[in-house]
Amino acid sequence: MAKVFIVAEHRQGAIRDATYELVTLARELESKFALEPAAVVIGHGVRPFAEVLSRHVNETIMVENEALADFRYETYAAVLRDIIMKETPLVVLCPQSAFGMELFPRLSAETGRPCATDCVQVEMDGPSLVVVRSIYNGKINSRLAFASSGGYLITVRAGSYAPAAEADKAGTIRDYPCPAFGEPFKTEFLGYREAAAGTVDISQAPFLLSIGRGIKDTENIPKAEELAAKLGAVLSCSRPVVDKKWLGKERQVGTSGRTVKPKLYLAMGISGAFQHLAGIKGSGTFIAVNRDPKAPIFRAADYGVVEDMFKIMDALKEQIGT
Amino acid sequence: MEILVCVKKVPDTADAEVILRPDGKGIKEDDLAFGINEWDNYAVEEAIRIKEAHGGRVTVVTIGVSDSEDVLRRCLAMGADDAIMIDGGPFAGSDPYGIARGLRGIAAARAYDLVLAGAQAGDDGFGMVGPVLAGYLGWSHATLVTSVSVEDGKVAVTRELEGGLEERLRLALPAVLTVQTGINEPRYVSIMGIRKVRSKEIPVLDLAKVGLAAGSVGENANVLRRIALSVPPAGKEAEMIKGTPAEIARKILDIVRERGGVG
Amino acid sequence: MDFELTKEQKDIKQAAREFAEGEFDKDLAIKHDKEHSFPRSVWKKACELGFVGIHFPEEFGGQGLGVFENVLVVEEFCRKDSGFGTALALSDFASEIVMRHGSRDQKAKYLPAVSSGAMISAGCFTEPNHGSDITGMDTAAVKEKDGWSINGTKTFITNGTIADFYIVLCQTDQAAKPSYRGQSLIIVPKGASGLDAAEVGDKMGIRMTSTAEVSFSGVKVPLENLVGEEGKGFYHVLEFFDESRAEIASTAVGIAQGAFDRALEYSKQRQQFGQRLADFQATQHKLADMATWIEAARLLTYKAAWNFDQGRIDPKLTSMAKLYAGRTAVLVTDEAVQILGGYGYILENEVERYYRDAKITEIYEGTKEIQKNTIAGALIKKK
Repeated sequence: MAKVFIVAEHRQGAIRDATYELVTLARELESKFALEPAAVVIGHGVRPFAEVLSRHVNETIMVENEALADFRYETYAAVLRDIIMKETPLVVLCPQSAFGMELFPRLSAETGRPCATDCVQVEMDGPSLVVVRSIYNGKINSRLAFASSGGYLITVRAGSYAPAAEADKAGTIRDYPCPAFGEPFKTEFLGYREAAAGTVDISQAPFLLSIGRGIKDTENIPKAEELAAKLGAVLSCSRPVVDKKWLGKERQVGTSGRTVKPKLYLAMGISGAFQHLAGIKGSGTFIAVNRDPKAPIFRAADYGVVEDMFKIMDALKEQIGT
Repeated sequence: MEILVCVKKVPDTADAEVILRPDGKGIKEDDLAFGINEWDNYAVEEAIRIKEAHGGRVTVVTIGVSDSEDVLRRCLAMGADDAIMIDGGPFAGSDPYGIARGLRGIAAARAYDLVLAGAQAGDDGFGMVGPVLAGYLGWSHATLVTSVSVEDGKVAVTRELEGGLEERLRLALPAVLTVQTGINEPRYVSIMGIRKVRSKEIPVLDLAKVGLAAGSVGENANVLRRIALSVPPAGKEAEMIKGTPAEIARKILDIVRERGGVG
Repeated sequence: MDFELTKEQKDIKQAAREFAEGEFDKDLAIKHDKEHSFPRSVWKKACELGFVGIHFPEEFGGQGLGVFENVLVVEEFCRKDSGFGTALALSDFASEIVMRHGSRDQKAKYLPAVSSGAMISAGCFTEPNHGSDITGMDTAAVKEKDGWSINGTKTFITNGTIADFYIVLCQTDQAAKPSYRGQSLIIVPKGASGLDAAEVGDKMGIRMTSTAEVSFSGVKVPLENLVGEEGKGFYHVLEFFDESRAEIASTAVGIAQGAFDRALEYSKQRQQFGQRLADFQATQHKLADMATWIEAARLLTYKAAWNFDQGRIDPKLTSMAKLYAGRTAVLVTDEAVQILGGYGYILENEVERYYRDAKITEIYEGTKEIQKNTIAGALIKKK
């Protein structure tokens, strides 16, 4: 039976949620296309992670080695190369994340196995794999097939599949020998750094007023701050606002910023890139204000307003005043 | 430092309406504004800053047809020293592997210390060309780079992770780095810059010059084959609040108060 | 015949557009418009990037390019924002007189300062009793042994309260017949004793640009502050107008294009009676007219600028460009407001400001009537 492998992503002592989304996808490929799911856990001191995954899939391959303590594409790709060669899985899945983006294209170049990144849908068409990717800022879906059918490397966009609920399978854990790393390493892991250092913790706020590219200029930030204060909300933002250094990284909502779950989320001038939307999953009531009626954010919000954000900001300030 | 920066001209689709062509194989490009890929612009700026701090030369390269030349000239006007155009004709419809093969010829033939590229492109967004190119070359790489500092024979970089976290790495040179937006503030093009490059020749290299055989790139050589494009299903739509700004504000405040916000 | 811009000209246009899109913030424009203030920090940045004084010689801090390239920059600036665009386009106003007729010292002192953002220039021609007709000047400069002594009042002076130096058209020979043969241009620096400037008051448009009454009472400046030849001031100014009319025409083309862009976008979004505004033939015809006028005005303006760069003075052509472009700006901004309807009447929606900023292009640098006089004069070979 053809196999589908899940490469577990973990960091700083915890399995990352995206891994469980891959479990759901692998199960779907099992039930619909009779692929056999297995998990791959690479690292140092990762037995607890292997144990968790063994409750989801029949087999978990564990590669345990001190040299794997911190993720580097160099060592992880060497391990995966070895596994792929010996175990010949048909599909290997990984989250589209800083981990997957660093690892899978490189692994593809080194193994010759084709890689499709950032897929939102994965399925079989007869013996071949077919994926759907979301392109042009989420405005178009692209369906892709592969020229060869010898095996695929796939990274999956966060949020494309629901995370698997807790399970109680009695899967096995297989200790897989770590291959020898031949040459001197070209990369060296130096440590983590909190890019979002600051006094505000937007992840704890029950009410967020979030601003995006629509705020247009640093001069307008005080207007948003004033409205947030009047509303009793904490001010947060999307990526472009941080890229332009109008607000600090600690206020950024999204995959590369903070994941938040406020009771109320009021987004203004945010178009709704998936990275942003992934950061507010599970939030309570979500209101979006944007001038573009076709902005993707209206597909995620509970309430939508098609209007210039500054007009709504001014009107809100007035209404609160009275 | 000898630095190669890979750039691409893409349509700006962030604020534009994207319409499928009737044949479903592409999008209508007539009404879209084209320019340098946003991530690549940060990469060019970063390369110029490294050069300004440590000396060396910056070369920009694109795979494109003549209408991409303005993007290269723009990079030269920002401060890049040389530009190379790889004739994009044979690359039409290429997947990231084809593009990486084309760039490999340039990167391998000249003694670059660093190759910079955008972490992804605003059109198809694979984010693959950089790390695949590094794999082909056997060079070290880092993706999603948010800072670069050059050390003796090495570079120290930070990579953007999730949740406001970054990791710090040190890489042996030569290396391929893909740059995340926000790494710097790209400069404007100045008239002085434009004048400086007015007579700059931009060589156009054909397939043979980048060491590739005819038919080795382009749509027919693709590993990743585009079957069809479609407009994503609408899915759930938000309940739209309509009215004058004052009416809308009132309704928003009703919802806010219902959820326990504002006094 | 070649209507294609050179690669360099395309790059310049693109660079001007990117700068304008990055820096000309709408809310900042509204703030300056309300406060009647000059956008100093944005102007400085434009100077650092070489946009101001692009047509000055390289030797004197410029970019060594032509009036045509200046027109391309000004058009892009005004397209993105009529207020910023006009204020920046006029920040070097009349410096061209120094460039064309000044001494080497004058050029070295003023041109690099203007192009680098250290100085703003002003040209003082119009007087309370002499508007577009500058053949006779009440402002008089008397040559004394140690310098000029200037008395008189100028009005509607662009950059009047913010300029670092003034190029003043004075009557230096009261006896000259006809009187314009007794006019000369004299530079007065900011802060000169007896120099006074006051804003003319709340203006309808171009409120980011200073417009002032400038008075001279016993202002003393050295003899070497004379620009060009004594008694030739009138001719130098006429020659300057040939150049500046092309620039004003380009502000008009940019203003018209900017208003059109906004009206077009709005007409594609706004739904009425179940269809987009753009689907009504009434709107379509408006848009067709607007686009046609703009294209015609642009071609005329480009030709006028190009012709000047060929070293040819052709007042008829530059007057045609300014007349037609000014009319186009007024008509197009009017239709743009009409297409936006009630929304177009609100400051917030920009076309309102474009509409107000357009009208001046039919007034300053010679009213449209004066332009017609010039054109007609050339046609019937008057005098």
